[in-house]
Amino acid sequence: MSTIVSTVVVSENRPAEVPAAEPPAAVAPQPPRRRRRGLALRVLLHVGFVGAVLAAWEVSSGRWIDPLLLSKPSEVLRQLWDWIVTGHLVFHLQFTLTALAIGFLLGAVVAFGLAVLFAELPRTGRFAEIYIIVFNGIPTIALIPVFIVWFGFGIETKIFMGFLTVFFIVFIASFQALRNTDSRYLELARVLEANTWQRLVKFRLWAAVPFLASAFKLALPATALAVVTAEFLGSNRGIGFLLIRASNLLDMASLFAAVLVVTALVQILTLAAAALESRLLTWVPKEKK
Amino acid sequence: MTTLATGSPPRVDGADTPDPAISVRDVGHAFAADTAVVEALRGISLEIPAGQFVSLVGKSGCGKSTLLNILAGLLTPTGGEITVHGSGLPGLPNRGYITQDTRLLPWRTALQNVALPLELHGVGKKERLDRARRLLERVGLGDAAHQRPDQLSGGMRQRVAIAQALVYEPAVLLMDEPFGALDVWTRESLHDLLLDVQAELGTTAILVTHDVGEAVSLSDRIVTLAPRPGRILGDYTISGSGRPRRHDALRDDVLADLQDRIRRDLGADV
Repeated sequence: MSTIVSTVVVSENRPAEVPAAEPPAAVAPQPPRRRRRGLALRVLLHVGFVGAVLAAWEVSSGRWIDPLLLSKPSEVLRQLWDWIVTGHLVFHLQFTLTALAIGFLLGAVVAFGLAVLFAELPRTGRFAEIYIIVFNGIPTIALIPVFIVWFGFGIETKIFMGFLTVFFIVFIASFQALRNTDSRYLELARVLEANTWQRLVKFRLWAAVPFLASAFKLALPATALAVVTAEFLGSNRGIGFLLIRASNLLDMASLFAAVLVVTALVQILTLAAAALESRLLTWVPKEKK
Repeated sequence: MTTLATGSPPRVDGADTPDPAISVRDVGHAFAADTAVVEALRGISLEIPAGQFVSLVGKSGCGKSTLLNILAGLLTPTGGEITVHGSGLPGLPNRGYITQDTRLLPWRTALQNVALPLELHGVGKKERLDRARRLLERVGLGDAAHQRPDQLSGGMRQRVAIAQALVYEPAVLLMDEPFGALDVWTRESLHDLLLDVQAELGTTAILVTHDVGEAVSLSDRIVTLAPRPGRILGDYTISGSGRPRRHDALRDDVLADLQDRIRRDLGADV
């Protein structure tokens, strides 16, 4: 064979030497002060708006609106302050929070324990799961009268309501999570010859933690509401009792004050759960939160 | 001078033949798909001497990953027999396994991930952290010991995975496209690292790849597989040139020829 003449041509085009970089003067980062002023303005706008609505409410109540239907904001705040200084608020809040804490802890621990057990014993798990799903379908609120017959008007009924609410949320979330551990983790466990106990403790439980955290975040405010609802239907203490008593007495200022307390309670619990999660679970990818 | 041997490596039943680290005897594997039985592997026999770097090359569907998973003990073959000889640190698995998507545990730091195999087999805390730290330094990640996987780049995560697979000094290192998701420069630096550590520990390495260049660059021996059912097509042993063979070395006539032959074996643009 004779020499092959290549027909490929490569031409090179080098860009001209770029002169030494000078810092661009025109584009300066926005000074933080201006950004802070923007934020202050927005906050001021919201404060002004809410203030105006409250002022309009204040002025119209008793003039155009029957104060028996809608109390004045000033009256609501006065009532709230009254509860604070007399210790009423602490007395009732203590009851609600105690029921909430005991119910939540018991429910979360029992639900998680059962979920681990059922995930480790798949046959038992499959058998029992159907009952848990059916029971979850029963509206617990409709059962409060039954619980009152069983447990009376004391704190036990409220704890049990809280318990049931957390139980189903946490059980379903953690059972699902434990049964569906990312197969890559299980493969790693197999390659590294981890035993059954290690596979549970060092792989599957950890992998379930983000799902557990979401369940807790969902369950905490829901449990608070369940406890307050149980207090509606038979109690002589608690925030729910404050609400229902005010309603019976047509004391709108107290009623609104109690609503304010419940709202604040649920909000604080939601925020606290979210803050705790982002503090403790820094390793969880953002999209899973 | 690079030389090339085709076919099974000459079997000399003499005293100086190294014991095989891996023997695969007539392995076949079939699994049930929706309606039919798919035969993934048929009649695979291989003897791999200790310390050899072998690449399994083939198109997708040729069963190379299935074969690797069988070697890793993740799959039990439906026919034939495999034996993996040799051992790592006492009481630890004798196989290491790395894949394209690293299986690092996101809740553990790089150091804790590397120490995990030792932790699972009862190595004391101080010793396992010392070993893990040494290996992390070996793969150039001494500074990243306390970072978690999500804080590391893809190449760094792959380094951690390599360190984890080597921390217990397994006799055999199994790799399934470990460099597939990385850019060229990261890949080349990991090639260097892998060959250094492999030589240092005398590890037998099996690499599954579809990249012919990568296989020729790294291997002592290349086994090509044909698809459906997966079976061995060619078996090439390269000797007489240092590894990794960089792109200029791959232009060597013998190696260029080998790459062409492998591509022809596989029958298409691999």
